[in-house]
Amino acid sequence: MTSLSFKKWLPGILFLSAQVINTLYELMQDTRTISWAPHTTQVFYRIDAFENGVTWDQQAVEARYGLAQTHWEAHAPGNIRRLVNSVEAQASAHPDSVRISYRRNGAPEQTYLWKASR
Amino acid sequence: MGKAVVPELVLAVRMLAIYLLLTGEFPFNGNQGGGRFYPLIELLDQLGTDEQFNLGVRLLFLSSIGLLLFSRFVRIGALGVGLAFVTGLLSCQICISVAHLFTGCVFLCTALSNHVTGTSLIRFQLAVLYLGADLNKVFDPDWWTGASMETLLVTKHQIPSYIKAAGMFPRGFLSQMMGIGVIVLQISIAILLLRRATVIYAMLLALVLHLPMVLLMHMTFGPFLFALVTAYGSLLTWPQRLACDNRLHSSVLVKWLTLLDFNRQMSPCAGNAKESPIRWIRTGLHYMAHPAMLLSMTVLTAAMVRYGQLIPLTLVVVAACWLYAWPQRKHARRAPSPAGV
Repeated sequence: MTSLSFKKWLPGILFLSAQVINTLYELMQDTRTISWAPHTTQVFYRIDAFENGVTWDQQAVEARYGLAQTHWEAHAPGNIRRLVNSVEAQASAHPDSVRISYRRNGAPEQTYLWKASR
Repeated sequence: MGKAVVPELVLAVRMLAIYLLLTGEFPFNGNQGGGRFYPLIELLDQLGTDEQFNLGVRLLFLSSIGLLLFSRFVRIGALGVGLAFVTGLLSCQICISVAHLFTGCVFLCTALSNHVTGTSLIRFQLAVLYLGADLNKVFDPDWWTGASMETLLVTKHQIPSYIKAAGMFPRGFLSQMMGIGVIVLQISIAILLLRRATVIYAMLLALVLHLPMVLLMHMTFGPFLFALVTAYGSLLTWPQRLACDNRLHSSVLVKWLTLLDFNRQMSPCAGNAKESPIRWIRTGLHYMAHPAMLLSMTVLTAAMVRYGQLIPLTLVVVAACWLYAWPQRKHARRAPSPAGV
């Protein structure tokens, strides 16, 4: 491969290599973002938010997190955990706690709990 | 000229761009209407208000589509569309979508292509897609036990025909075989894509992998299916000249196609043979590579997706592959020459 030919290939090789490296990196995480994982994991989740012992209604939960309160996530449970953490780190008027209940590929239910630090 | 993109890629991204416009696909894929929503990269949260940011991405997307459709600056247009897709995904946590990411990557690979790389970046992009998807499955025990497929097809989509078929085997057996089958298929496709000479076999396996999922789940995964078709299509040999045979072809249709022959590919068709439906069909099949025919097929595909006609769509894809792609398996594949655009 001549120097000119190599230069023509270089941007494409770097672009594709970045994808492979990121896919390998995300394999070691619990999220799938810029990763080639189409419908790889089926996560059935439910998000509940609590304030002063009262559960937020469905509309309030969906407006806050931008997702259906109960639905399927087709990539990784970590995506929902990350979303809830991001919202609670940036948005105002927190609930006291947020509970994500989820089942990954029909496995027994797991729970993730976010708590306000106040 | 040194940066010229091969005509196969110009055609592919233009068809894909038209499909995106017709189906209303947009970089954001949120189920809440789309737009910036808790970006994954902090910088993207600091660029103007949500309205300004969303308008900016939309303008980038539409102006880049305009550029690649109506100007010579196909690479710049493709770069803009690709960046709009990636920006959309990175600026919206609820918009994560492999379908839209892959669509963006087809545009970005085109932007990074030139007369030396030809269509090879698209070929390697497809290989990376299948390799990545396979790695995610290989290291997940649920794909080996069948739990993943069982959840997808039985619990989530509740597909009656699959549930009925699975009932004929021991519990979970069909899902396990399907899961392992997908792992084997995806790695096989990735390997076959590494050599230009075996691309047609990769295409055949891709049909076996994707079309049953489209039919079973009754979805095209947003723009993914069409992006795949255009990506694989760009790897085929497309004729530079379209010759008419007046014993076989309809002179009326050829005349119409000649009027739309902006690439000057057509040769004139003399003769006054009687028109018949069989001649029209023959002409349609022979001139499948004519841009007007490809545009018609893009519009037809968008309409079939819009109205949920996925069985006819599947038949069209299989027929096109059988008639056009499969006969090319024995050709020694040369790298495409650069386009004049």
